[in-house]
Amino acid sequence: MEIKIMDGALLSDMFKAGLANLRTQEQTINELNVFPVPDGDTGSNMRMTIENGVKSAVETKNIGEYVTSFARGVLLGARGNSGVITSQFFKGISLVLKELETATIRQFADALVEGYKVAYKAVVTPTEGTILTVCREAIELTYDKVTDDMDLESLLKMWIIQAKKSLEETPEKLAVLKEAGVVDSGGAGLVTIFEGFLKFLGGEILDTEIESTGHGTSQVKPVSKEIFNADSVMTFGYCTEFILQLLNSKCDPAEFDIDEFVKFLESIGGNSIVALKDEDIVKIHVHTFEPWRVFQKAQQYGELVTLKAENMDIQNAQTEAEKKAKKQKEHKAIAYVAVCQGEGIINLYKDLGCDVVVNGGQTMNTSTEEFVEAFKTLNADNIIVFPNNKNIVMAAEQARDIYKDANIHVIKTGSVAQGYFAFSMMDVDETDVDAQLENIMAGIENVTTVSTTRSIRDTSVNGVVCKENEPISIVNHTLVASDSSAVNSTMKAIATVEDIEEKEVIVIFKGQGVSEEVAQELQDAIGAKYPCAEVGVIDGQQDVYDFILGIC
Amino acid sequence: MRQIAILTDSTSDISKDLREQYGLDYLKMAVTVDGKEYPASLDYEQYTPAWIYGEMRKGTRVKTVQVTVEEFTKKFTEYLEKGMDIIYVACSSALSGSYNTGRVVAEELLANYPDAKIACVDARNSSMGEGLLAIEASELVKAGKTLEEVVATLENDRDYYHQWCATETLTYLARAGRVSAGKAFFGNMFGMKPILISNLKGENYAIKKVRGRKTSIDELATELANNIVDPENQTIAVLHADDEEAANMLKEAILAKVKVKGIYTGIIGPIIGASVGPGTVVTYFKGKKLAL
Repeated sequence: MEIKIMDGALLSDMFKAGLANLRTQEQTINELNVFPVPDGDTGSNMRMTIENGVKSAVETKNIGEYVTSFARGVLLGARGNSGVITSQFFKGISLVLKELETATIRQFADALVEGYKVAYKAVVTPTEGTILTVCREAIELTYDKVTDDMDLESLLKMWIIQAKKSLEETPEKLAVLKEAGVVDSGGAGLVTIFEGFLKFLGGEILDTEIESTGHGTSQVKPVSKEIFNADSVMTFGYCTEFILQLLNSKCDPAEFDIDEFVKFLESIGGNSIVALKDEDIVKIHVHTFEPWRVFQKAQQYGELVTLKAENMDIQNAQTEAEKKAKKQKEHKAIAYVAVCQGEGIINLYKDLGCDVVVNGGQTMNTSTEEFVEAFKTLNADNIIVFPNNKNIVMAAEQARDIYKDANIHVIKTGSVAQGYFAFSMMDVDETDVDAQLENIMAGIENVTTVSTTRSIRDTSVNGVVCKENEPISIVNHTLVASDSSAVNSTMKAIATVEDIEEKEVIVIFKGQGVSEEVAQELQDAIGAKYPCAEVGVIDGQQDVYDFILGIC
Repeated sequence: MRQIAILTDSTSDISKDLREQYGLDYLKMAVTVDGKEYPASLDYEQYTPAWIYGEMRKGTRVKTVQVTVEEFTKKFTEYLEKGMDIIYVACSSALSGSYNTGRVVAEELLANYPDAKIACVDARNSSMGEGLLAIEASELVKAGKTLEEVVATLENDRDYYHQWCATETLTYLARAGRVSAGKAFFGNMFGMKPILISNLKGENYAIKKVRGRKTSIDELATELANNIVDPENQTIAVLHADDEEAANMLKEAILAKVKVKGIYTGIIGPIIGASVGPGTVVTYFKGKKLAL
């Protein structure tokens, strides 16, 4: 396919293929983990990030309109650091294309340049040897070769060659990668997406079906009788969407007139019409009171590949109800949102006065959208956010930049232990946000986190030899110990903490599946070795980690 | 001129020696442990402080009984019969009903002693915060001040007596309902040590929390150093609820920062002890006017 002019429909197909290709490689990318710790998986994070873009993009031939809606979706769906950086990359692309109806290859190349620039800006201290380097070098080393009559396939091929080269060099630029013997996972994800674009142009058919398609359908809420009942009168109709495969047996696909079909939709009172024809595939979006007539008409020309019709009265009523619920929510000077995992920890945060506790953070990184949704449920001047993991700090900060109805303060808590101490040191009745932030920072100060989990593979990090499934212990972000017993591994790690003899408080969060006896054993061992410290166990019930300790 | 008797009550934690030195007497409250009532004697004839704090640690509910009408009537009458006027330096009315009961009983009794006077002064403090104010009252009387002058001075000076107290946990305070702080202050806070002051209203007010035992003790010494006035000429108080080691640590920490004339040491009695809980350590002294 020799393409020199790009439109929204093309980009839509390309992005879907990129997503599909990413999905086939998701697990492989997940395994490119530098740390033998089962934390937020890059492959899954990037897949979910792009998926949200594809799901929320508006299908239109206008490239500016399409890419803007896609970038917005990616932004909201961003999970994990690579996801956030990817979202900024697409945001940069959309900034260049947003005013355009169609784009030339040079304009697209310009967009790729802007993409990496915006991505760099999103990171406070950009690290080379990551996805950032890959997206920068790929276009930097390609751009000079872009000519006015170049076609898209050639540009993408050159971009991918340079991107792969850059990706292979990432271990040379980043020591942790070299030590783990892997390339950067985010960079690998981006290359995979672009390879999907190329596969589409080459005519390769990828399974682009997304599980749970369309907005809203993934979270079907039970319909209350108060919203729609025997006496209801419909006022908004159905949001009707389908993909039609034109059939040779029913019509001549080449002759199918999309404008005629639009006229039909208008004749039955349809509005908000989006109609696209791409060879023998037709996509329709229409709001109508009689979706059956639309389907019936469509079936005269072929068969429906996907279809949905959603009652917009119910959608509307639910949205209104949510708005109303929010208004009724008591206004607060400061509200608190924490991300954490494990029933015990969630309940603990609620007891401490946290307004919203978002479940997640470790293997499932919280997305920007999830943060925004949490903010929306609150009625507050200030919202203080406690992420429990460094991988979700960026998503929280992105949500802060998007959300306008409150001042958002993201506390850079890197662990649930830090979050706990931050929370326990503050006075929840405090209404002065600066004073409260001061309390919180005092709480985080000098907290060391020791966590014990299981190695996901045989490896050696920092000279610590770990066997697959054996306990390993991490002090803050550095792996320091391994042992066949979780208690021993934890004790070894504690011994490396600076000034451990002078620490006064050690709190142990006991993980799911760890018996009380084992937790007691650890508590007793710490108590015997460090008599100055007060040691306590909280039943956190977190997964992944046998123990998370806060030491201060 | 009529003589003046200075009375205080069980929460003042004044030792026998000090009572004799300053000529003080006290009104007894009572404490019930597992339903059995004991008089809250400052000389601990019927039980030891260690026993009662041990019971609290075991989870036995220890309840307190304010000074009864009977006790007031008996003690007040005793001094009135001697032809003396009375100044009762009472435990903070925010913590105990004794002050109010005392005023009611005094008014009734005075009908029969038209020449006598009884003044009840709300110390707006407890333990040695109350005790130090009673000692001041005794010194004022000794200096020849009239009852009205003594009362006026005490009602002014009570705003200058500081309490800086670190409890082991907020559990006891929360249970006793005798602390002023937000509900959320009582969350499950492992390792957090609440710092309590006695505020201008005489409430135990949780002013801040710090992390760790040693840090909390250092915090008390720092606050003492920041707030004390004329330390060379005053005897301060350091008390504990069955944690002598902590009291010694606090004394050392204070002496490392300021030079004081002396330190009264002792045990927080069971009445206040029941609401602050075992492991509490506290210092009382005269300093800058209370800000809260």
